[in-house]
Amino acid sequence: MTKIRFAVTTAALILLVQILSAATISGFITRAESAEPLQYVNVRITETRVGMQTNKKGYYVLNISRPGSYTLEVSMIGFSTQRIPFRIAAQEEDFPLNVALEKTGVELQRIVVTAAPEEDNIYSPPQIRIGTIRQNPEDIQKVVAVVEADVFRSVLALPGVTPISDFSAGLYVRGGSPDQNLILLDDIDVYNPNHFGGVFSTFNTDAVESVELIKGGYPAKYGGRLSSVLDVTNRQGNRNYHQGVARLSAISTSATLEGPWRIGGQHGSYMASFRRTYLELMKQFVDLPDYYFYDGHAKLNWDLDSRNKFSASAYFGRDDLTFDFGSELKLDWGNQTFTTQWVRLFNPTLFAHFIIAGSRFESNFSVSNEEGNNSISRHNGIDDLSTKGMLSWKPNNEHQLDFGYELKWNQTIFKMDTDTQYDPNALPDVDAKSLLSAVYAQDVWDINDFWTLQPGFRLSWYKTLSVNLPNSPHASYLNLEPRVSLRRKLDVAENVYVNYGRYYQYLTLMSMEVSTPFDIWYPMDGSLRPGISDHYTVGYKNELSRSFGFDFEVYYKTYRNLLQYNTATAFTWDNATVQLKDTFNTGKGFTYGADFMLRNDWKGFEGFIGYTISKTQRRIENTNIDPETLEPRYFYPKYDRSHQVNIIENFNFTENTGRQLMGGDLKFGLNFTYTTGQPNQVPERIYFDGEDFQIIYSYSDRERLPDYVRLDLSTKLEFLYRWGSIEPYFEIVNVLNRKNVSFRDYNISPDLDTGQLTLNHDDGTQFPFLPFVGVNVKW
Amino acid sequence: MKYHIYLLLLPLILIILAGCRDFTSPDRFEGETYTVTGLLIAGQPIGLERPIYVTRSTSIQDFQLLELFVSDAEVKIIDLDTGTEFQLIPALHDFKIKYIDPDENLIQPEHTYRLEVTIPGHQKLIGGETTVPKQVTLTPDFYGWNVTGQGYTIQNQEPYPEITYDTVESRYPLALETGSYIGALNLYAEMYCLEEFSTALEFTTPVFGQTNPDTTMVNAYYSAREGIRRIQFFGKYTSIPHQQPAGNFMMIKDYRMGFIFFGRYRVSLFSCDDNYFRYKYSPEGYFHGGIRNALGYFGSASGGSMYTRIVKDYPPID
Repeated sequence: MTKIRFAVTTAALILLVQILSAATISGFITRAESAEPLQYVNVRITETRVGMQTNKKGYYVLNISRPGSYTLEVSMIGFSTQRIPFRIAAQEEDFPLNVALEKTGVELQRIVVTAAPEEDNIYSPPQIRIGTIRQNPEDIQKVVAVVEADVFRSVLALPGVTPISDFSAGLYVRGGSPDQNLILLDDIDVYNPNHFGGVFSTFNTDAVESVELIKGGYPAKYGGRLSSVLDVTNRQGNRNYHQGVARLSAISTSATLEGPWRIGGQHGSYMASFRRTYLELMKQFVDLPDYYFYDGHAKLNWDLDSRNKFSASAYFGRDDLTFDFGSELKLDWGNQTFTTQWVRLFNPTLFAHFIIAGSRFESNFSVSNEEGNNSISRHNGIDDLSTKGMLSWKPNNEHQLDFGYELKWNQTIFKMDTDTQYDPNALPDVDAKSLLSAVYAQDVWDINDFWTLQPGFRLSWYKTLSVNLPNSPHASYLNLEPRVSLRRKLDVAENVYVNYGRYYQYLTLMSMEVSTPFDIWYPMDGSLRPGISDHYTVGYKNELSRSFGFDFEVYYKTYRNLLQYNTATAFTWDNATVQLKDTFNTGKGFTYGADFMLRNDWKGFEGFIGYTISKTQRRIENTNIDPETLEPRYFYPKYDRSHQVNIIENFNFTENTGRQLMGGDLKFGLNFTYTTGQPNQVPERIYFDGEDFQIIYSYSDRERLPDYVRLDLSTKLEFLYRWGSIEPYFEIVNVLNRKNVSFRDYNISPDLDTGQLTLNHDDGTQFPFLPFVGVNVKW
Repeated sequence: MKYHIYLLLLPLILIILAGCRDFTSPDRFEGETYTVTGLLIAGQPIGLERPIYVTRSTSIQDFQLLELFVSDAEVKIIDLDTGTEFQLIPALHDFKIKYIDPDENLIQPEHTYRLEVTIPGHQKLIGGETTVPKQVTLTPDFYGWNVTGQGYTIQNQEPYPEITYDTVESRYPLALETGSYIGALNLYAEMYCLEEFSTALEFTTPVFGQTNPDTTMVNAYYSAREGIRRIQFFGKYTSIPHQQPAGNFMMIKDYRMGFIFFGRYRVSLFSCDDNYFRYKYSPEGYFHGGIRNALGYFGSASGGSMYTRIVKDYPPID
């Protein structure tokens, strides 16, 4: 026994000495023009062929086992590759090397970051990224969108993400509902990122550094949602000089300013962006509801020294809608977030990122009568105070250990009130506080040149701190969430991977099938079990050539303890006796399918073709009842789309032909979307209810509405000046003017003279043929 | 190795492709579907105004009006408080078969009634139970204005009195007197426009600048469901004591949005039982109306209907 203990100790010491004795080269990679950090840059030592990608803060570190002369190779599509020789003199030397990358051309960004399949400039990133697509602002700007570029619309154009309507920005990712998406802005949750009508996304594109969508199988540092992660990072701002962008369209204006600051010996950068609509001005010409929204992003960065960087960022947004329909309906809602971050390099191999952040979403709804009395009002809000620590330790080139913690305090309020004689006990009055704490660890282990294993876990503990409902039991749930991925490299730029992960969700959103800003966030008490989802993914990636890349993923997801709002709640609610389970019907479900994506950068055409085939079904109590057994039956939810094709292509005419139009650079863009029609119920029987002939409906998925087909085109003409640029643009949404059906309502008209019945239906339409003009100004 | 992995991936894709089919559900109903609907009104008999309906439907495409109504059912009502049984008889009225009580027994508030329906060829006994709410009384002129030609009338005959849209809530609130009862009740209110559809109808509140309906709205107007012709309110309201007039009242003062058009209206106000409330409130309410072995509802209510004409302005006094 003693011998074994001695051997283990000796081996551990040898390993530790090896770890501690390695030299390192480390630093930050930035854009040369703005000194902003660059994420996911390939960094490699040519001689040892070890490499990695920079993290979200632009940091890299590589271990070097013995002294000598080496070359650091830094490459990223759209930037000129740099090869920097350096010399390691001693075994334990830490060699700091920051690198600024220059852009290579005028139009350099790609829809998806790719790399050419040449052995000398490619490296598979250490992390196995399942279902991950990353976009930068240029990518988002290229997707044709109504009114203006839109973070959510660009995400909705990706395979595996279902657009449910032209008027909803809700993300339905691989069979998940919008509340199952973890949406982060600078690492803090944004709870309901919707502006009215879904035309505008919550985030202003000009303020965004990157958008990363993880469609499933996400790593251990993320948790609390069942379906996907949308990780949005605010820009830090130009550290070299001041600059701005203004965008003007028929119904909104936005402006973004950024630049460096310096006070004494301290320095950093700032970025601020503001946007507002002015639909109310059009009210003079068209009878519209009073509506406007505004939002803003701000970020301040302070580079204390080479090992400590601080930043503070904030987001705020507010929508306000008033509608007179005899009574006055007032709605307002909005998100506010703040994040303070400390990036700390304890040593070159231990990178830490600490966060204290907060988020608030609130929505208000009220109807008042002619005397100004409050007929009904509703307030829903969720407050979030979080602290996180995310650490990354790279002891050697074979391992990268990510670990950390998260503490999240939530207060959820749902309160209805009235001045009328409505029964006050029947109006919800919920005030719940909860604490979600989690620790996680994940190793990326490059076993050899071919195999990479990524085991990890997340341990989460949810506890209600208080619930004001007397009959509501407290919750305390401790859950282990294993995550594991395995990758096999098949060739220089070709690999295959498998993944499994378990996910828990402790908050839910009460919504009526389609995501809206009026959905209500709801806590979970002891009467409800947390949602559980298991993700299984098999994926394949291949950079086919310098011009084309191809990948696909096959996935299977299971869902348990799904919660769906029970519409009978308004009938059954009693503040004195209710438990939160009374508000929901619970159920289960599954999704399986495959996403295919062919990326291209060929003869001036940049973009991708995506295809998804999938099947999503749910079984929810008291829903879709079998009339014989009175048991619920599996059904396709409204957002199930069996087939989906997305084509996003852009062509820079000037860059690829050398010709200009009226002295400006000419660019074209195309979006094409095809999806299977949404499930719908149809009339099957008829009866008389004492007043009218009424319809008895089929199951909720007896038919499919007509397929959705939409082609959008855009053209931009950019005039470059010494002070900046002016870019007028012209877009046409739904060029084919196809009548895409958003919903179908059936009604019957009996003819009492003939005894015949006429079955009619009314279709809800979406965007018609819609031309749009605007202008972007940069300086 | 590489080709072995290709061979492993290929079946996976094929499984997914093969599994993604049958994108719709099968038919929900097979053969004949029976529906029973009946709303008992406190203080009234089961007559031609509020009968019991029994319908049989096999398809929506082959609909024949007269074949819809079942004429040979045995329909029985039992007062579980007194043991009294009413045998209902079918009556052809207004192109419909209605089951009515020939003895015109009055429905008693707070009594529980059982419905039993036997249909030849249908093996199962269809049934349901309802407890009639406490007696409430519709109060058309709560403030006692007593102005000739203005307000509501409980008589469904011309000429209707008038109320201006702008004053309907403040001068003529919807009110139910609940006797000695103070507390919550299931309220069902309905505003039903008695005008036939015409593009000459005028919206009380213009919709995006549109003051009159266009021809595309005709289906929406005559739709059997809740629509622009029929606006319904549901909710749990409370009856509370009032000083002037004295008594316990459930009152609604915010309801004018239920008048979509100017014109003649029937306004109904009921305190109803849970069966009818669930039927009206729930999606696919015919599953939740308290009927066993068929669809529909068997409910009860107390209250009534009144009539008025909603106008922009009162006519000038000569």
